[in-house]
Amino acid sequence: MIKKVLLICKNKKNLELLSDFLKKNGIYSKECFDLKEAMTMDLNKVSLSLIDLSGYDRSVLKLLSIFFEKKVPFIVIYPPQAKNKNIVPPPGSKGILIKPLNPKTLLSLIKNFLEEDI
Amino acid sequence: MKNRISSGVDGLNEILKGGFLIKRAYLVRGGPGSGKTTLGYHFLMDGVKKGEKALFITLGEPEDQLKANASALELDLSGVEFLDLTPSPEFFTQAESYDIFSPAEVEREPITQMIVNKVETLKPCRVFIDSMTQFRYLAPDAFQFRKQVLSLIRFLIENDATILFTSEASAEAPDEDLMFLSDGVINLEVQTDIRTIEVVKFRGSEFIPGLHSYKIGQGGIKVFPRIIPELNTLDFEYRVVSSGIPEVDELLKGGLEMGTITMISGPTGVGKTTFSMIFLKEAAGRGENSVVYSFEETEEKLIKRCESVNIPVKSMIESGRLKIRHIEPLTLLPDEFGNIVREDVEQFGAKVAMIDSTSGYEMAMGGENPREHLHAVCRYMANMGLLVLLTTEIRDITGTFKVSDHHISYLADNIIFLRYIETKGELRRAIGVLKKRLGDFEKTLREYSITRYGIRVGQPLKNLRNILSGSPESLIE
Repeated sequence: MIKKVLLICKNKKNLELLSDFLKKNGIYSKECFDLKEAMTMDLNKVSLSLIDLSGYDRSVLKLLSIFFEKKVPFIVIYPPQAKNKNIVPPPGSKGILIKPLNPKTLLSLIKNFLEEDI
Repeated sequence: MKNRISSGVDGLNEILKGGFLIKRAYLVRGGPGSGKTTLGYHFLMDGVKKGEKALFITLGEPEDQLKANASALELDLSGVEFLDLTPSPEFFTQAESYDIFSPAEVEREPITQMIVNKVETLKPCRVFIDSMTQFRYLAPDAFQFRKQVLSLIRFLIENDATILFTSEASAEAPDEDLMFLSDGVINLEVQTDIRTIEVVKFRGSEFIPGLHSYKIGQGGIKVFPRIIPELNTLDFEYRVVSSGIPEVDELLKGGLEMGTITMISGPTGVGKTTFSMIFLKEAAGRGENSVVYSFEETEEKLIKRCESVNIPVKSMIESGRLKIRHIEPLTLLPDEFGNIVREDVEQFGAKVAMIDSTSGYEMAMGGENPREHLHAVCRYMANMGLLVLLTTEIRDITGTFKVSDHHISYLADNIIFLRYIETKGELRRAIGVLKKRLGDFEKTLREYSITRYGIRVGQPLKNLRNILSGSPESLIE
């Protein structure tokens, strides 16, 4: 089964950059910026989801709880303002990242998850 | 000078002693509107004129805007190649902003690739980067920035380019690091009414230090290197030249020496200009050129006045022996005036020069220290062997004796003073010599008058005392 990373992000340029980055490194991804669409999506082929919180309202928390319930591993991406703040990771999240992301760290993190998923 | 490349601006080349050294990188610093980009236009246009490849790498203004701005200054950028790395309008309209990765991660690679491709294809001799500061935002830290800039410079130099680049220093992003990385630094500064250019670093070459004035207008930048008298000297003979009036020559024990500065001091209307003009008339008679820098009177007025007292200024001008330059207040920068003087000395071959007057000069030049500039100009002319005549006005018609209200008497080798005196209810004029550095002079005062036949100087006023008070007393009861 081809493992996919689901990218959820409201900023289309961010989405495009993330997708291009993963593609360049041989990782398939599916992109989504609409929360409603994400909530109804078939999550069977998703091995990991990266969710960028920026730009979404509180309904993004509902999506996180759906992923938690459906046992979809997810990593939450916070805006740069979250740096140096004590952030409690949302329930079920595998971790948090703060923008801007370090491409090398991101890649090794994703690869680790995908390998664990085999 | 094969190892030099012209900056495209004559005055700057003079400051740089011939131009930039080839295959080096030079930083142009300055605030907004100081003319950094305009200097880049000149640098690249000069290359195109010489058949060289010239590349403008822009990270600030887009190509079209740069061309339009150059055109507004009547500068033609055709032939200059552009690499436009400015953001497209889509960056704004199509939400092209991002924050998922740092700009360094996203943009450095494509920008580097575009530069490499352009340089390798074009092989430019001259590259202008406007501005290098933009690369700072593509580097994660100061160390990386420094490394990237060094590497970019090295890449361009290995491709045989000479580089001029600008920086936009701010409190958040100072540009001292760029000063260390470059082979030369040119500072452009704009003060309220004056622009100055200064070369603060130029590896491997001499340069003229200090602040020099520049202007930006139609035709771009004009730089006026400041006059440094010590750098301009000529071997000449301190020969004595006559005034053409025997009594004046008697006062001066023969006349005035070439290569000296003579201050002619007196209150308004006493005849300082007319008196000075007699030396210019004599110069014309000897077949020598003279120049008058008139800061108060127009050429027409001066001609009319001189003609009315038998000084044939019109024919002196017609024969090419005399040049009158009327300088309107605040039209010239002090260094710009200095460059006009140099032109008159070195090209017109002036042997006698008159600056009329010191107060007019100070009014006309403005700037921070006009006296310092006047000093440099006068010393330069004297060093070049000219007879310099400097009229200076004193406020008081009579009363306490003063040489000048402008504290510039130190500058003069010779001081001649003209004064009003009042005897028996009649206003008369007197002339005397206060100082003559290279020779003796008569210590007495003489009566002096201006008639339609010219200047008349009488015998020494031996029967009066307290002449300098303006109200002399007769010694004969």
